[in-house]
Amino acid sequence: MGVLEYKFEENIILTKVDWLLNWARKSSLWPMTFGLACCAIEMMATGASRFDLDRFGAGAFRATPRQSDLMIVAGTVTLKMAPCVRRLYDQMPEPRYVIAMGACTIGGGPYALHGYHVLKGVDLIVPVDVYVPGCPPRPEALIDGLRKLQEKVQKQGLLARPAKPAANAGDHVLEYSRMDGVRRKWEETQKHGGLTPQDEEAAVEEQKKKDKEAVAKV
Amino acid sequence: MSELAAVLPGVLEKAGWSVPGGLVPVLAMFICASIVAAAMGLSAAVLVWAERKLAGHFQCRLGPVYVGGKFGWLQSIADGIKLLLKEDIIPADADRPLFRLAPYLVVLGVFLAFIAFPVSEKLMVADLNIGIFFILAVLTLEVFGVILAGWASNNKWALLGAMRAAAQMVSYEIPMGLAILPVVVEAQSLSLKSIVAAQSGGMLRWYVFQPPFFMGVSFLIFFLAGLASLKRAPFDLPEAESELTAGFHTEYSGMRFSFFFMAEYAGMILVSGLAAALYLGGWHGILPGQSGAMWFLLKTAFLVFVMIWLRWTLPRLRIDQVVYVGWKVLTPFVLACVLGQALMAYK
Amino acid sequence: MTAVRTYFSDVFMGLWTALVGMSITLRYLFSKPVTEMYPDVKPRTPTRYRGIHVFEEEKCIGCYVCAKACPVDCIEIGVVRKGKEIKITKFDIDYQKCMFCDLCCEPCPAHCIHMGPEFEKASFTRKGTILQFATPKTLTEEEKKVEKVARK
Repeated sequence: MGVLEYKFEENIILTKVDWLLNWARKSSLWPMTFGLACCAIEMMATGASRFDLDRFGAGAFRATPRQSDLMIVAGTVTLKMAPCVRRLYDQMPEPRYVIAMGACTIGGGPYALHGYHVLKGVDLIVPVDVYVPGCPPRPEALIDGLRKLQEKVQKQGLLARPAKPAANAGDHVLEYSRMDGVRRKWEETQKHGGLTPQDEEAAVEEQKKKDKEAVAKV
Repeated sequence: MSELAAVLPGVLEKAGWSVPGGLVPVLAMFICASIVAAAMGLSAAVLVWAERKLAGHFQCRLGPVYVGGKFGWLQSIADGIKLLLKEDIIPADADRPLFRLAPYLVVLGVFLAFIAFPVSEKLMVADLNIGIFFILAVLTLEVFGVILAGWASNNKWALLGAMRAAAQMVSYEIPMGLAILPVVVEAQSLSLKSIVAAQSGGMLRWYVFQPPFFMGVSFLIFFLAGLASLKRAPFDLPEAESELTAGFHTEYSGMRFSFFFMAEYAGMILVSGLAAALYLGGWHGILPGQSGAMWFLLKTAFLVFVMIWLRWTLPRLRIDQVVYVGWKVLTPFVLACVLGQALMAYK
Repeated sequence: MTAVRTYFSDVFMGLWTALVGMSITLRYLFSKPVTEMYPDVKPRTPTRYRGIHVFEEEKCIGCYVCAKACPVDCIEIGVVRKGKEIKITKFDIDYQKCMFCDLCCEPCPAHCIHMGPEFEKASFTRKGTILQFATPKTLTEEEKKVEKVARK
């Protein structure tokens, strides 16, 4: 669909077609059978009888990334696993979406301070659409995340350009580059005021180097 | 089809279109083919929805609810549109022509088999005099598609899945082919129309209930072998999720994958319909004198339900167990049935 | 002879066990689904459930005990003290790190922080997972000088 995106001016037919296509996409977000740690247990519970992800059309867990639309990164992403996560993401066909589930995946979680082996946030390697906090989030929280993702998918512009940027435009940018992730992380560390600017620059450089290494392994 | 070709000139004349006489059979062919294709796609879509819904209820959950009203009945339409929109990936190291060809072959096998599908006395595309033989022959095309898909993907899981599919198909085509022999011996015909016609006159005339139940046993064997050749659970080894990612269609995405998906569900209808026609009296009703397409569809729907039921009940077998069952259980049993029926016919 | 008997009993058992399994699934097919209709019906969390925190700002004395107790340093507190008057300028909990261990609530001398029942805090940005519990205040220049912000 990348070829067609934003190639037409907005009109009523295109908006209707857009609505239909977005509806189809959001109603059948097949997740990938992909769990990393304890959050995966909650993810399985979400797919099971009591919470039933299939109600939203998202219950068909596909084993292969080629047939899945949604990657629920459920659990601690270790540095050793990070290249695999990136590779799985690369193997998924567009349109693809990512939910970062649980504290570890959002920003390192309990390992954020001293976890020498943990990636501090999966958005450093893949663009994340929805962040679901919790340690682990309960199944309802994951369903809430999925509903938020569905809202986001419904607002996409496929053929027609979106009429005007939404009020919280930053929330709806579809692709965060890896640098953006680093910058956001840097902004957050800046708020704490614990480091001098030089230290921070060094930290950012080091993070960049680590990321490059991690991605080079892919 | 011949009926349609006979009626068509009159209809065209009424509509005011002039079509050269030679083109009428071709036109009839096109109409039949498009009807079969539409019915195949539509029934596959309905079946996918039904399977998800039934799977939900088998597991004490609800299945699709929010997509399209209370029962989630728009679910397969959403799935279809989404699969159409997905990026079409052909891996760099794949054998491109074969990779492209494989899904079409799989669909073609099932699609061709629908030509001799006996919905009712009038509602069949062609009453071939070797109908059942033709169906078994073209259904075997499907395994070529599967093996090609596994080979062309250049992926170890896909190749393993294709190898399993080949082993399984070879093992199960034999009992499946032999299981129809008792019926053929009894009906003295290979044409599906005359096989069904021979079962008229109420439930007790259906071949499955004919004592001494040689055909009852071969019905069971036909059904099991059909399940195995469709690669449905508990014989879904070629696409075993837990071992082989997705088996032979691991590398397929979007529309190409949906061809495999559609072929599987259309194949379910095909095998169920065949079983209904061969053993359960086809379009004949329970009481003598009753007949119609509705009876055939009811029986087919019931057998499809049994397939879904089996899938959500039984765990997957091991490959050696599957081959064991094929060669050492089904084949001897079906051979005994054929022998018994032949002796009875010999009198 | 035993081999033959085993063969036939195996075939019979294969069919029989499949039928037993199918009867069980058929029973479940017609039983009532256990699914909770979550977005329509909100679940009742247990009384001791550890969800997103509840913070009572008027009770807080800005003693940093909770921040010190936090094993992952996810609480950041800003306080302005003028004699006995205490102004909480910042009380951020970083849910990128929080592991809902309840260790912050136990040592609080004023009992102003609790584990709450809330769990729906999915956001579109990473920043959105840092929740600010203190009401935003405008500070005078003098107050800005004495403001102390710390996480441990």
